[in-house]
Amino acid sequence: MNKNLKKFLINNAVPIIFIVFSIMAIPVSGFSSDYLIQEMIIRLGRNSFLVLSLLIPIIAGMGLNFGIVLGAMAGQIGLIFITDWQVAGVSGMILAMIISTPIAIILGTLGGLVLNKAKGREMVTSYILGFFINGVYQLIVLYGMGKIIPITNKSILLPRGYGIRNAIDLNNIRRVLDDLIPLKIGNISVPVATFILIALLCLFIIWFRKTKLGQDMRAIGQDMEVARSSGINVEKTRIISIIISTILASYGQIIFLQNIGTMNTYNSHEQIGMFSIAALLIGGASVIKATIPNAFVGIILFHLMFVVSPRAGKELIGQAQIGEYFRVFISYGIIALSLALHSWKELKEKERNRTALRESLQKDGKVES
Amino acid sequence: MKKNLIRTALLLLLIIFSFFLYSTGKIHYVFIDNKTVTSEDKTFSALDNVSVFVDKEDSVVIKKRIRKQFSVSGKNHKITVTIKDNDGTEILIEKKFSLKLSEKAIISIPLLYAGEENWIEKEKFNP
Amino acid sequence: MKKVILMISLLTLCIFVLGANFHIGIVTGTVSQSEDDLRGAEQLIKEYGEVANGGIIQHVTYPDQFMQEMETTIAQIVGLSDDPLMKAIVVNQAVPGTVEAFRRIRERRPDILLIAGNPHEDPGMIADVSDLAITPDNVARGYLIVKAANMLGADTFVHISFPRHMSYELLSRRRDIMRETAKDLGMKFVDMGSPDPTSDIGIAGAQQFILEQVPTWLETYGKNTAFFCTNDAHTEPLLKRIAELGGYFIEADLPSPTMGYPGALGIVFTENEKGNWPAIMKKVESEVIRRGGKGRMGTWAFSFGFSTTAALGEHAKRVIEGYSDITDFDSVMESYEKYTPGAGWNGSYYVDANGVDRENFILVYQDTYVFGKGYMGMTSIEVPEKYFDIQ
Repeated sequence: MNKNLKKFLINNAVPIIFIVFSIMAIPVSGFSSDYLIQEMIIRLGRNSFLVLSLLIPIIAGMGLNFGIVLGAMAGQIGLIFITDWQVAGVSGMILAMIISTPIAIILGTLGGLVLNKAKGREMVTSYILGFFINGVYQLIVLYGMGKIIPITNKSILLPRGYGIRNAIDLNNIRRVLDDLIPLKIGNISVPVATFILIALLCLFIIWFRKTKLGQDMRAIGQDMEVARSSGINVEKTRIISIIISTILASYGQIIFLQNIGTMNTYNSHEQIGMFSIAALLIGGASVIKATIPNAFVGIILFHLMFVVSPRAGKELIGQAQIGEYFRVFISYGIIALSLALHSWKELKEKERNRTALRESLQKDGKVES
Repeated sequence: MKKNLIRTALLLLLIIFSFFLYSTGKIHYVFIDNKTVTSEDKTFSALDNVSVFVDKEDSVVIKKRIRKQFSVSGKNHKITVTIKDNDGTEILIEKKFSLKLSEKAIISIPLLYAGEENWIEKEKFNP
Repeated sequence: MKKVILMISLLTLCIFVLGANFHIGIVTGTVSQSEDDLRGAEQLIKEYGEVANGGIIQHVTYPDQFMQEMETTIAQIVGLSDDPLMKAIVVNQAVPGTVEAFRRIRERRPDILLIAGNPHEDPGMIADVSDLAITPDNVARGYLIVKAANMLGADTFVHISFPRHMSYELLSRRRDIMRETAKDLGMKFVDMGSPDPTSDIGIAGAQQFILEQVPTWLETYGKNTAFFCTNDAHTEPLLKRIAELGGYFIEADLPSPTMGYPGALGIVFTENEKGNWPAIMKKVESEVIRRGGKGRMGTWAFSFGFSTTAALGEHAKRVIEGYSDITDFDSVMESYEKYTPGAGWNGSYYVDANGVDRENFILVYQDTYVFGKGYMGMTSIEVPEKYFDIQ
């Protein structure tokens, strides 16, 4: 019994620390429950798709895919085009998704090929890959658009005639998905259509795990060599998993930005990988295992902290700007903490497996104590 | 062979669907003027107490000598103008119009009120 | 834990019992990003008290990294609207994210007045969502700065900038107006390029460039040359050289006695002097005169960031109390003058590229103060109509 409790605590150390933090910070911040619930619902709708796009590479044993930044960039290119053509509403959003899909497939293939050359170091490689593609993205958007790629809308073009402006107003597609099916419970509005889309994605992930491809990925995740000898094309399957993740991330970024309403052309995608991964880790996921509940719990806890900590800091110390520094300190501190806790957990896991193995071996009488 | 055929067909369908999305989502600007204009040697003066809405947007009051801008998406549109006379009677004018892709419309309230033919001007629009 | 909850509930009780029946939210940058804006908020707190102590002002800040963390800016601004007594929110400077935050507040709390100072986003966007927006009148200033230089006796005008700044619509438009004005007044106009401080050369490199080049420029164009630069980092070395060697400096891009002068002339302010503009002016003026800059160097006597935060808060209070209308131009000017005793203000409405009038977007400017000479009376000079038509 005691052992089980200990195991539970170790397995869920990160979410537990967060819950404790939040319980302390919420009353200090002085926000009303209405506001906090509304804010969490908005953020669930905004971020879930991006966080869920991380799951499939984890099944394939490729760790946390920092490369979703690539997908985010593909999504933004789609948004730049529909803003240029001035296509509004749900039509515009779907069109942006259609445009971003081939770009995401190309970037995903590229990412997959590189990651296949760096087996075992996928996470750091995908992180650096994000910076590399960011450079290419800036080159295309800042110099290519308007020069090679025709852009006619002067309101998104820099006055010099080529290059996209720093900030793009997405008023044309702002909240079109969130407000497609309006629902208000008391003071709280719920983006029903967005949640339906997220639910469909969850169903897709559950279904996908059961398909042949999903089973292959799981096999590869467990042991690449065994999978290879049983006739699975390991390289191809790994590339497919990255492609799926990248496409989903590009849709995720479009959903994210239709909620935000403005796009910082050169900055909006930068934090996506970091924040999504932090949320997933905080939800109790690990590099080798992540579930759908992990994603939702993580988003709620991570963003609760984000909303509450600046005000809590201000109320505790009394100066507005201290609140802001408090937020930076707390939020980045907790990302570091969750990564550290994560590797500590991994260590514990290994230890426990070792003890379990030794115990079972002892029981069989194969090892003398 | 058959597989390729299906794939090409699906791709074509997707492209057609994209064009459909483009035409239904394309934004048009409608500028509405409440300014005194001269047309064919007649002067039509700006009006008091004018409020306007296009399609389903909220109604907007347009003061004298002011231009307002609306943005609408799709092809067919309807403009509804309410003008309150000095003696308090309300006059309601409804007009339908359609725009081609990459066209903008400039609507003059005084001309519309006077029932002139040239109340709407359509121009090619490059944002 | 219990104690904290008790404290909070006591505090809330105090607010309800003692507080006024409305609150005003103020959003500014931090000391490291934009000190003057924050001092304006402190001035309001001094005058009307903080919400936590039963006053009416609730002050929060946006992140230093506001380009990357737009989500936080939005959450900070929208968070203010959670207070049921909140009746107005002033954001100065209105960094990217303000438009979206205002849209969100509009949906939930249409009763809150939304006011933006010095917006970074597209003027048309901010005018659509706010009740009132205010920014420096770069159109009128394009004429007035050159005119002031002419009045002081300059015969050449040097405009110092770089491509990134010239990609801002209002800045390149102001340069064109300056060029036109110089031509009309019979002055020589020089469009001078310089390194961008945000590029790889850095602030130090950009400042070094100015330090090295000003003597050459003064030699080429003569002592009767007036200088203007669009970047804050360039202002300091420019002032230093002009004080030493000659030339004219009418005012900075965002003029304030604390802009450039303290660093260029080695002036240090005491804790008491911070936010006390008459004292700051006195100190700067005596130093400028001591260094021989009398009658050649000018500024706005009160920082734009400071006076805008304070004046918009004051104006919001007057509107809520029913003393004036939100877009009442004269009332806005009165609020400005309350925090800037002695300095005149003037301005105009913004007209966008399609000719649409924006009555809730006000462009303002303060009278130019030349050290050792006093106010120039620029606010009473009428700017000829034709300069407004230069696009």
